[in-house]
Amino acid sequence: MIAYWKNHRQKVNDSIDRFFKGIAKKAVQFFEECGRSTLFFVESAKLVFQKPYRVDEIIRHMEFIGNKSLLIIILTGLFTGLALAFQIYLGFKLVNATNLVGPTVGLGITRELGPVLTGLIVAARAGGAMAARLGTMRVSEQIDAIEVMGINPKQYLIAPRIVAAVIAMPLLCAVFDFVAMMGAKFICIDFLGLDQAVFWDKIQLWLDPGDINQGLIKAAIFGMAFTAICTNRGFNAAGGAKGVGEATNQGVVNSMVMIIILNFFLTNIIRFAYAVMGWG
Amino acid sequence: MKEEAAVDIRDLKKSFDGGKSFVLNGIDLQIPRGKITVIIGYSGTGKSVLLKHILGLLHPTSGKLEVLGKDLWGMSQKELIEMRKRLGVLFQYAALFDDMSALENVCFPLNEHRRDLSAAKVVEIATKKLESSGLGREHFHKLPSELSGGMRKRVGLARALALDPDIILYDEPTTGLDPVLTEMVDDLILSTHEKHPGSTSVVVTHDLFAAFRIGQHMVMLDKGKVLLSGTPEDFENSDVELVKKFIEKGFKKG
Repeated sequence: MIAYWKNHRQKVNDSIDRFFKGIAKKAVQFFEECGRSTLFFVESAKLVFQKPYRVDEIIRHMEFIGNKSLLIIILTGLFTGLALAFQIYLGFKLVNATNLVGPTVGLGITRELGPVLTGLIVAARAGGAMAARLGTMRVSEQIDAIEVMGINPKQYLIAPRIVAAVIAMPLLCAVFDFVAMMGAKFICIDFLGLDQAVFWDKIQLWLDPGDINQGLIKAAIFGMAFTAICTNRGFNAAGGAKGVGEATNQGVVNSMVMIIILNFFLTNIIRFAYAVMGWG
Repeated sequence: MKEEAAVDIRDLKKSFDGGKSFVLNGIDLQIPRGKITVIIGYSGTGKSVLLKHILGLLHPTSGKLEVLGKDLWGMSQKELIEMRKRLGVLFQYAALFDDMSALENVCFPLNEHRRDLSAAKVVEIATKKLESSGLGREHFHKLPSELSGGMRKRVGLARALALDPDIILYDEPTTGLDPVLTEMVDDLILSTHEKHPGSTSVVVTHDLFAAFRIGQHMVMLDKGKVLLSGTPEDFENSDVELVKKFIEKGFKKG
């Protein structure tokens, strides 16, 4: 072993070096992507307030992001509520605290799982579609065509998508929360036989509107994040079908990672803000 | 008095790698008003890059570019938008919006820029443009994916002409088309030019037959520079070796 190490020291060192350099490169790329997407987002978001206001486009994108994600959100919410409530019940039963299953599920869903899972699902579905659509428009010169017609392509293509995502995401998150709580109610009351009055009473006692609002705020910010990342990727795609594929893939992956990371910081920022305002 | 050029380009340079190499390496070119100018050249000589500069899609590394007497890069965003309304472009593959029907594609620039017009008037203008570009009414409500290559070009041309532009630019309009469709597109360019007296047409192509058929003024690019600019006769009688070779090989291939 020692002889091997001595003979291959340089090779092994190089491999370790390459490994860490690879990680560092990926991290730098991720932060570069964050910077580019933020600039792109700010540039595009400013155009929301410029005439002509594209209300019809906003409604069209809301229908795509919101209505068309409804079924998958309902399905995911229902089964998340069912599974989470059952697991928490099993844990709390050990310490005879099953009356707290309702509020624990409620807090977990409204504060964390609701917005995060809604963000991840919609980023994968609508974000991926946005990146692919804009990427295709870029490589087939449709975006150039819009620009040479004297229309700002960011104002026409990006700004309405941002507004639509910011409006649709909290609505989807609210649906997710509601359906997940219905799932929790079904498993706890109808299946496990917990007391219905205690279940709802404890939820009312421990769950504040602030907890629900926290999730809805997060969902809106996740909407901004995935729209910025995916539209930036698609809008700047290059290199034909391969470029569109890469833009879609990286847009979705980066959006998902960003949602998870953002969630941690948002949790702390919102709690801090609530404390400052005396709501928490 | 010298006639003002539709497009006046002075020492235009463009580099995509920070000045290591230049795709456009000092273009000096005046595109005359009211004529069909054809820009020819081997692949990779900067024809499409030059076209994108005229459209304001690319920013030059150095040099000056005036379109209709106005410096394209000295303009505010608002002025650039106004200028672009005076340009119409037929892209290589038409670049139609694939979620809109043929008619909606032509209505799009009118809806954006002629908000004073009623919806019925917009449809009426778009219908006229589509008819004059030769698209049958039965195809008006089809999506681009349901149209043939030639039909797409007709819709693209109708869209480019929707706002009655002063300059119409054609980016490789016959690339990938069969000889019959190629001739049809050439005829379309000629008839469009005749129907819009005073308009300037700029055609980027490497199809020599088309160039000599429709061109009233010709420009040949090589290595990012203008090799020759003149009438088709000037090209036929040129002593420049590369021009002779290009014409000879182009016609042989055709």
